[in-house]
Amino acid sequence: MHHGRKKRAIKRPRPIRELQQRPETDVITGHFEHDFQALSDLLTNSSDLRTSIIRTQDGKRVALFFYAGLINQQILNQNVIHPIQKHAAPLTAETLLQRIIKSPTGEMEKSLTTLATVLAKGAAVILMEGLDRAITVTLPQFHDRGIERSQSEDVLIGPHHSFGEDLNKNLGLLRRYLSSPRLKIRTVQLGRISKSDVAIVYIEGVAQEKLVKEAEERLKRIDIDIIPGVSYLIEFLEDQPFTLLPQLKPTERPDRVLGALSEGRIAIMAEGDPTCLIAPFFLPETMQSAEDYYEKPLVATFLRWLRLLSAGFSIFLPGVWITLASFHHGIIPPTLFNSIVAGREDVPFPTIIEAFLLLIAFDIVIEASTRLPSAVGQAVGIVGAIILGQSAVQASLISPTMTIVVALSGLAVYTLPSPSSVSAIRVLKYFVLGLSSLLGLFGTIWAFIFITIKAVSMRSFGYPAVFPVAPFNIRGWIDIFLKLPNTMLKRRPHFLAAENEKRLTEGVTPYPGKDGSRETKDPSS
Amino acid sequence: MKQKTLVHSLQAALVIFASTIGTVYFPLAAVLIPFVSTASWYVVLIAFLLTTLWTLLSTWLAKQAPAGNFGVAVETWLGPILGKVFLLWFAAYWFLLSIGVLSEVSFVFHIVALPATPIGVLQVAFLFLVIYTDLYGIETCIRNIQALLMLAIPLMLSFLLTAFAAARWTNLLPLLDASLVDMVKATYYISPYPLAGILTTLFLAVQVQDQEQIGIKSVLFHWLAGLLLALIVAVTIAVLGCCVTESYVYPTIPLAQSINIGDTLVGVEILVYPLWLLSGYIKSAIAFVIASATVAALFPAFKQPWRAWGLGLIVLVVAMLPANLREVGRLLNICNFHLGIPFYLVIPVIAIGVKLKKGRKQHAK
Repeated sequence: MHHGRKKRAIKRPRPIRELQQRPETDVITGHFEHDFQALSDLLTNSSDLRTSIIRTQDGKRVALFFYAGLINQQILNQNVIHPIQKHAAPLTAETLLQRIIKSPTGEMEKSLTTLATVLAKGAAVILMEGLDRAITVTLPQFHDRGIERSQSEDVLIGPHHSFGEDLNKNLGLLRRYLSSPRLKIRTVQLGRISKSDVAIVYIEGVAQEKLVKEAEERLKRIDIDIIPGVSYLIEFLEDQPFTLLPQLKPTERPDRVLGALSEGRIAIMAEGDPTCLIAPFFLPETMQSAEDYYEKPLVATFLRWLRLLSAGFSIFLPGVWITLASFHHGIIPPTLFNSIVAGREDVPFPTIIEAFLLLIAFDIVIEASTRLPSAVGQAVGIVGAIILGQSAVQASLISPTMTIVVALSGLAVYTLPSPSSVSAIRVLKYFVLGLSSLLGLFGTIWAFIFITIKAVSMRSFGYPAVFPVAPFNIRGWIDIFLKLPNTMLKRRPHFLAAENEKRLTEGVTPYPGKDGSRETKDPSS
Repeated sequence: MKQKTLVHSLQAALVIFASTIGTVYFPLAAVLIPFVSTASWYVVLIAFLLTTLWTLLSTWLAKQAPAGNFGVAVETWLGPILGKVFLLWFAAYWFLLSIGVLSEVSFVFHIVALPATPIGVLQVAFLFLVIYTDLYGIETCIRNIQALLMLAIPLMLSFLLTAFAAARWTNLLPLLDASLVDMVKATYYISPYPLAGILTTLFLAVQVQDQEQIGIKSVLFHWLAGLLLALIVAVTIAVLGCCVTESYVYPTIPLAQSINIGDTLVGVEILVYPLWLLSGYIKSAIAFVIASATVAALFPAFKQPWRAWGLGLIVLVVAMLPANLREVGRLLNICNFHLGIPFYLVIPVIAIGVKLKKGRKQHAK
């Protein structure tokens, strides 16, 4: 007798009716009228569905099904309809596929449900009288915005390309930059209704197989009706979805994805979304921008320090300010304290309320300027920052020092190149401010320790999320504070790489060799 | 993905360092000066050099037991009955230490920085962090301490640097101002401080992946902690002088308050208050997590989250009993001298027992 705890069965949602009407038999029978009717019934109530019946030279009927917006109709006419009409000899399925429709995407299919799915993905379905199989030809024509500059991760130096909404085009973009057969793509179809393609991209021999399998398993576990985009999947893929801090890195930039792939990470992309998720993602990488690798090392190092300082300012500055101004005045030098008091003389609110009100006002202005078109957005920013701020100070509603603190804290966060981290920090500062308002410096430090516990407990695809701080790794740790020259970045993160940890061959630097074999040439000689 | 335990020897050594330093550097100078006056700083070094033997014994013992579980290791050394007694004693030490540190940190912060806030609020808030750490387990606790050290060490060094600027090194003279008997007495009184590091070594050395490295690293970090404490004691005496230092329970706080370099570098308490809270959290979290893990080895049915919340409730009740800092000190003395010092006798005895048992086994073979 089995005494162990009963294994809990995974509850799957009830299957929903995917299509309007299910045919009695799900296969092409070879009986033209019946098959035509069955497929038409399956696709009923779609005004963009086009059906037409043409005849071959020997009088056989050929039915065509396609969705108007998904098919390049000119190519369909040229490569499919005209050749069928002109062909003199009797047609078989093989002749139709191999000699007449000269498209590499042509396939034979028997299942009516599969035919309905491929139709929705941009294929034309051809039913021919007397044939017990249908032929599908993919001739997609999507209207997307093409390859544009990245809006959220723009840089001054380096590539400007960003992904679009078409998955194949995005994958093609990666292939164009990384022309190697070792760039592998595994596709998983998700969404009971949407049947969206989700791709896992990695470099064979560089990424660990267990990481790729883990991603595949996590994706396959998702049983949902529609996938609007890969960004929607973040919470399904994260190890701790309720945590504020990000555990996957969303990016729109192909160069960032390639950089991540070359370190042994994987990328997850989906149809209809320009965002690509990089896994695993380590929190200290929030301070690193794609631009760092195109800048001079010293400049990039300075920028990293600036971002670290900015992150600290945005999370802790309002809280620390409240702490000093309301709880521990003794620590502030007397001259500074006097000027703070003088500035607050006519302000009717306590410092804590003043800080909360101003922070919320600042976030309202930011949110409004983000949602508005860029030209209007800038104007709203100016109105919000200068006119409202200035007026509020003049009306003695807020003090000038608090305006500076809130503005610095609010703006500093935007030096971080990762939008997901920016959102997390915008919320975290309220948490720190709240605790600092209640418990002074004790509250600020309490909040800091709490955030640290939460961060170190996080994992990204099973890897500790605050690597290389904890667990400590000297090479990675140096990389947080110093951007070493690209010629010195010789190894991949040690526990990410598969068997191949080295990424740069020795002796490729342009410096003269010790033995004098590669001495700098005299330009005059 | 199956999560690997990622406790490496370096991580363990950092925790040993943190648990040795803890909040010790706040009262240490005041504890030593009544016995050895200006010789206090090198008495710290002597104490840490002498106790190196116990660190080495702890790592040697860890290698004699199957890696991974402290409870199993203790049972291997002492057998099931004595092992349980040892575990109970070990848990009691850490449990009381956690309570003591928690009370001490809350009391001192309440007195010096937040007199209007009820002490119970500080204790509950602080305890919540400790319980929360325990809920995530030993691995997260270790990683958290590593991450916090990244802030605590620069803060401590900045504080020391500012204090250096205000130091009058002649305060450390005469150098040999203590008799041998006084030095032995002083060494005895500060011996509980390295003990926390030694017992952390005993607990963690069993659980590290690369055990061959733990011996050298734990000794190195044990010495490093001793060196840092000696430096803090020397700087405190150099800035405040022996008489003033002796008159305070926690001389590091007046040390920070007294620093005023050209009316520009003032208000150094801003570095000391966070340090006090960070150190307090680190020490009490290590103590609580080790106590909780030892309780888990003793009573496997007492699982998380009930264990963390249950033990936390007891900690809260006991931590609220002391009415003032003097009573907290008494509680810490019971922990350090009644429960702690006997470990100095027991660890070598266990090591000898294990060695004899091993020799007998080899002889039988």
